[in-house]
Amino acid sequence: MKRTGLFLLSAVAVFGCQRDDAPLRKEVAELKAGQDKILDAIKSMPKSGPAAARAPQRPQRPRPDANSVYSVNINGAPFKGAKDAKVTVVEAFEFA
Amino acid sequence: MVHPQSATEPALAACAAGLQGKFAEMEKAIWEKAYPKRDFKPESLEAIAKGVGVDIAKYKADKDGACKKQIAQDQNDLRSVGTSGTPAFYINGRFLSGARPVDQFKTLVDEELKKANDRIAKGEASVANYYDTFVVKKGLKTLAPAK
Repeated sequence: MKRTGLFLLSAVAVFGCQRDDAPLRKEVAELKAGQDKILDAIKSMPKSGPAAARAPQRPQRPRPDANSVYSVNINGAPFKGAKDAKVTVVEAFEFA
Repeated sequence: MVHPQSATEPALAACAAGLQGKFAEMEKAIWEKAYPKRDFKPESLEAIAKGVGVDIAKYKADKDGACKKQIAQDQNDLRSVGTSGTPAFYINGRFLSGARPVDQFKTLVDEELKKANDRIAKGEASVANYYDTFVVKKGLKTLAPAK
């Protein structure tokens, strides 16, 4: 009697598992499919974020090269110090 | 380089005083008297010019003549070698933009002084013509195209 009961119980348990499992598996499979769809959608989205924001930027104004020497004529400009100097600092400034 | 709306008048005023050997005095007076109130009206600047001992008839003539040309020329020249704002500095032609820590000036001055000493020692230039030879003549006239 005891054995049968146990058997019955386990049969119910196994059966029960099988019955509950099927819809769960189906659901998981559907979720997975859904995830794949989302990933595909993300991949095909137009790029955004910092990289995309930079793309349409105006071309940068060319900057002087730090190591180049540029020709700056100082004839007639007001100056301080010796007329002939080995090093001349030119200042471009404005009253602003 | 002169801001077209606000800084043109004082620049002309300093230039005109400069043609009478009073640039430094006029510059100082503009910063001290006109700049704090941003009062750059021609008559206010004229009063300042009078105060530093400038001949006003010549000052007026130069402001509208020689100095207008000079400032336009300076702006063009500086723009073509990369000045796009002030302050900007060229240390023997080497560009330094904006108000920088003094160490950056010192580094450039030291480098350029060494270069100058070496070249003068080799006889490639004299002290008197060094700037003209190695900066004005040999320097780049415009920004080099991007490499």
